[in-house]
Amino acid sequence: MNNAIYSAVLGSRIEMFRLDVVANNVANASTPGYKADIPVFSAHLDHISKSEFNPYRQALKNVNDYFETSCRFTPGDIMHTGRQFDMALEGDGFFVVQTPRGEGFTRAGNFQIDTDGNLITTKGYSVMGDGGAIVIDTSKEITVTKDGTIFAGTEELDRFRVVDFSNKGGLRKIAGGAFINSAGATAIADPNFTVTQGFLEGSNINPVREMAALVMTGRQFEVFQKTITLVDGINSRATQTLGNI
Amino acid sequence: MMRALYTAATGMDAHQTKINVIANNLANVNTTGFKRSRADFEDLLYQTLRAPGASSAAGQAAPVGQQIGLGTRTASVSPILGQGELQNSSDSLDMAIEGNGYFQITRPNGELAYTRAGAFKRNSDGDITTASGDIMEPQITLPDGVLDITIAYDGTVSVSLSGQAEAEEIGTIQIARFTNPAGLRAIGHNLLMPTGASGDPITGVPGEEGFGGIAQGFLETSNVNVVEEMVQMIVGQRAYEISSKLITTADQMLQSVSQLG
Repeated sequence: MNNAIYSAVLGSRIEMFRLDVVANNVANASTPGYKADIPVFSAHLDHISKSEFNPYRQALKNVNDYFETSCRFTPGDIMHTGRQFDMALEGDGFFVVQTPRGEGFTRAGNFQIDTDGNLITTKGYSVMGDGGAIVIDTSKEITVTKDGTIFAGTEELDRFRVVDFSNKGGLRKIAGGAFINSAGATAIADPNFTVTQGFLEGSNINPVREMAALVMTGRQFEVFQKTITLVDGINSRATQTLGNI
Repeated sequence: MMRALYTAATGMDAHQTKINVIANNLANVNTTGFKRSRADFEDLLYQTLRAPGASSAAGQAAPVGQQIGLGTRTASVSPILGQGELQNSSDSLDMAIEGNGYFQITRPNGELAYTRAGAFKRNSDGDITTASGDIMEPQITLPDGVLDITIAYDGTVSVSLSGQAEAEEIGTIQIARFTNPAGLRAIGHNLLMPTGASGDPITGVPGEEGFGGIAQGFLETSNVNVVEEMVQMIVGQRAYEISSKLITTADQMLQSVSQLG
């Protein structure tokens, strides 16, 4: 049979993946500290030699081999909220939080406090300072200086632990706006950052980029569907013509 | 079916919530002691099809992974507790708390509720009550023939009576604070109830450490900022629109598949 039909099937399946990624980015347009995912295609095709390449086999094989998601770590817009426990991280790095899967890293600074005064994320993960989990004395005014030191009145409580990585590609997303270090990303000793209280980093998705991706995905998919119809037509005519001979 | 359909639906749902919260904030822009709320979102689970660093078919470690997120959800709708503006009023029973703390109110069923709306009245017995008639705790009863009421920064209530030269002290207003005031549950009528998340109330004298002071003749306005709400409304509406556009695209893709046969 004609190989083109399998290539078109593969293309269609990849476009469906792309739409999933765009959908998640758009859904998280208002999620603080969210980092957009970019679909990256066919990085692995380079490793397949021409003789090995068999569109039929490839199309039915796991489509995942042609597709990766790469996280875009550019900063989101920082907006004023005036809330005491909102912290924006300007510059590099991540706040360190304690997740069930070990140390987590997040730029979502919309922290809350629980009944015991522990500083936690919306997901309930403890926020870590240099002296372990941060506990707030709520009877006093809480101020946070640029270097991340937390004061209750005039008393120094703790300092936000902020870490950064040289190869952020090794970070893996878990739910609740946090990343975990799953592939040995290398920590940078002294990241360059400032903490601003009463501000919050928004999502870094770019609506124009997402809309463009959305339109392109829809059209590209259509092209693949047309190709399938076209190849089907050719095959159909071939069988009919051959049958007439 | 396509994940994208459901993912986009979570986005529409979340931004609907955002608009609902903004609507309530704007509706209460002139409600005494009202604290604006904010819907906080977080991303949902990720399907990790391939973890970063996993080795590929060709035996090389992939520099990035393959994770597909499944949308967003509303993590919390919590109040932002910044102080509202203090507005001068001529009523001697209008009080505002400058700083931390809540007035304590006894509800008809005997439970204590908490409020920052300090537009107090007096009932026929002379008790200080809220506009809906719930009595303030500790109960303070104004005697007959009161000429003038003075409420000090520390909550001391003194009255001058006709025929008396000296003002007479008749009680002290106590206020309560919470470890996590954002965890209080709003029950309407400007009242808040303690929950497991807020912790137990800690009562004290106004103006002491950790407690705000009382400003007589002032009311605390809501802390809603109309401009900010409008901006957030635009953001919410546009994100909702793009999510709905996504559903249309996913639908068209499925439609063209169904027409293949």
